[in-house]
Amino acid sequence: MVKELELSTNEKELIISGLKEGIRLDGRGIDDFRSLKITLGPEYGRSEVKLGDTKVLAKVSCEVARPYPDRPNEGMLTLNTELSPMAFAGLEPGRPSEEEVLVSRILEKAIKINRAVDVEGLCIVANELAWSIHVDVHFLDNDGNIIDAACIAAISALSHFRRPDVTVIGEDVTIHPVDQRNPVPLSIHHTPICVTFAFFENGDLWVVDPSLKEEQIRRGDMIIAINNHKEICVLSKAGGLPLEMLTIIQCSKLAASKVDWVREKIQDAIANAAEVEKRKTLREIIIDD
Amino acid sequence: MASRKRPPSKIRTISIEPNYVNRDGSALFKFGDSAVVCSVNGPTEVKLRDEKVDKATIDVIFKPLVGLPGTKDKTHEYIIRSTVESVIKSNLYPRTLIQIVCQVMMDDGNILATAINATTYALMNAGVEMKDIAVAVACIVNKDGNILIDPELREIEKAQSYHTFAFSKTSFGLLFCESTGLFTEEQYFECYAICKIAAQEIIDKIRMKIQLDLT
Amino acid sequence: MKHSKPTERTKVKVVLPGDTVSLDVTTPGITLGPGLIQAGDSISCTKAGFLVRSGSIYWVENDQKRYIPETGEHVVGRISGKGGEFYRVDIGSAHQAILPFLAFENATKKNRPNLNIGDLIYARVALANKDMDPELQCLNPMNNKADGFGKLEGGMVLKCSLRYCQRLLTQETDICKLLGQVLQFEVSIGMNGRVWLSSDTIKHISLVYNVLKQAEALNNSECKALVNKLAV
Repeated sequence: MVKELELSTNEKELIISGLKEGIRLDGRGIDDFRSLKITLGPEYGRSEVKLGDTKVLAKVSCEVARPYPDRPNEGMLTLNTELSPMAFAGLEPGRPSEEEVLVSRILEKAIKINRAVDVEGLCIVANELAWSIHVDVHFLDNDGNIIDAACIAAISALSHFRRPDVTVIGEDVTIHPVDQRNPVPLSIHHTPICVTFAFFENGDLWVVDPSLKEEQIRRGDMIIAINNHKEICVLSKAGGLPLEMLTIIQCSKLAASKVDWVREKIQDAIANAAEVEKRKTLREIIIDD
Repeated sequence: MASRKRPPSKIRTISIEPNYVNRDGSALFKFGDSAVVCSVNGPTEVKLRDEKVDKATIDVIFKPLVGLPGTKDKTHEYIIRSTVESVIKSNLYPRTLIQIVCQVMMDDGNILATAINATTYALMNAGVEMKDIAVAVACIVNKDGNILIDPELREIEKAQSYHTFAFSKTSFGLLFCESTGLFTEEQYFECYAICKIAAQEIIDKIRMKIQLDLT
Repeated sequence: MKHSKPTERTKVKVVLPGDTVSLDVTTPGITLGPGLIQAGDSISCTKAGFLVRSGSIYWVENDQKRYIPETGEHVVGRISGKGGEFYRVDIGSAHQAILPFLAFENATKKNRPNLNIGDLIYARVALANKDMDPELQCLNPMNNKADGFGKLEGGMVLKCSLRYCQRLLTQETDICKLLGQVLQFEVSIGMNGRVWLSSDTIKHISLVYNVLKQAEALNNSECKALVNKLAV
């Protein structure tokens, strides 16, 4: 944390006193997310997420590769969540910071280890050819809660992505260029969405979707990822102050409703992107005529 | 291959969005569907080992859209740093760090020039004192020997040679140039002339945008 | 702090770094402010923004956020450390500033100020140049009295552009006056892009914070509309 962004005692006391009265600095309720804006496109698999002032960009790309020898019938999925000095001033590139490791682990657990994407469906020829899907998550601006924003960006990008179509006849493998045959979406089993909680004082005070200032004075946090089947995919409470079991159960109930809200936003974004794509194709047809 | 929809000497629509992120200075610069966001932080505290007694340490980080940064991106970092080092009045900020980060948002060709222009705008947005500004643009010579300015990705893939130039606004001196491929001396100078004209257009667009934002 | 309204300020034109300004350098009394430099016989700009003049003083105005310390300016700072005989203060500049223990009213070697890391202070820049860490003082050098400098209790800090702080200080923007008609609050405006504000309740402090934050991008009539919405 750069010296300039550190909070004064005055600010810390004000935020805590505010939370005791249920007031947050930006005027939202303790269980409110900030405004969420998801923009998909123009290419398939590109998602820009704005959660308040936190901005994240995710880009999905694919290439053909040899499957891992111990998993010959599966494709690969890799997540890259390298932090950048654009969002994190004073960051030394090359050395992963504690925060970077945490973000990377949570997203891996939620998306990769939980098999959100059907990797068996990515196999083209067992032992020989399979699709390798890369998700690059770029952090543009950090105003707190980069994990939730990154998860939304990655999931929406994966849902929006299209890979080239493939035909396998015996030994012959044909990968169709995207301008000859429409690319196909990935097969997604379930979509986990993360919700982060921050705890203050002795655990009595808590908020959802903490801002950067709130993150700086929190005494503990918890991240719950829930998918569209209402299953908890990840529950991470690493250190920080001890919490009552009741608090955890209450938080997971709240997380479930928040996840529904986020999922609706992602669906809207996908619908918007499809609309824009349709209008663009119509325009191109008219011009080419 | 579908032919280009615009004349060979016409650059794509330029779009600039200042203050794209919350930093001392930032800007999103687009040539059509090529977009780069640049953020500038500084002058700020510098690590003792990087400290320069008489001027600012300028650090550039270039992040590609896909994959981890490789040698090509390191080359871009070096190019952007050399270009801006020659215009920033770094002697006004001794023992400080000016950190520049470029993130590719969309790639449809001409990325290095997009990044240089984004950096220039972000530096002005941050109020870093400069004695001049750098603007850049690229062009290709295709298989028919035609020169196409501000090339898209598909045009670059089939080009004979690819040239990027960066000019300074006031004297129109050449701050930087990089060429790859096979080309004749005549073609090179023709590219230089065409890019110079396009650079003026970019400068005008930048000036208009600054005027618009301040009023 | 008393501040007199400056003489008539006129915007001349938009400039970019490297532009030359057509002024007769031989005319006596011309003063060049930030963003302008004399190179031989001509004057050129080093920043992008509006070229402004007030009398025979010219400078370039922009919306930058990064503070470059200048002697005599008043700043809001946060104590970030304690050295041998001084505090380290973060004022948003490239280097942390130094605030000597003796730079307070009635301070002696035995009578030290009682500030802790994290405290907010309002201070005056006693010494600033590009090669040294800036030095602060919590007293008015004319009469050696505190005169409003010193520790700031409670409240909140708003970070904004340097230009907005100027507009607040010179009352070029009416927002403080308009907001003051609706509720009571106090502000200490730092020229370093930091404004300390406080009010009687947490709700009010939060309100003042958000209103001042929004008003940065608004003109006077828009400010009036914003405040009217609150009064409802």
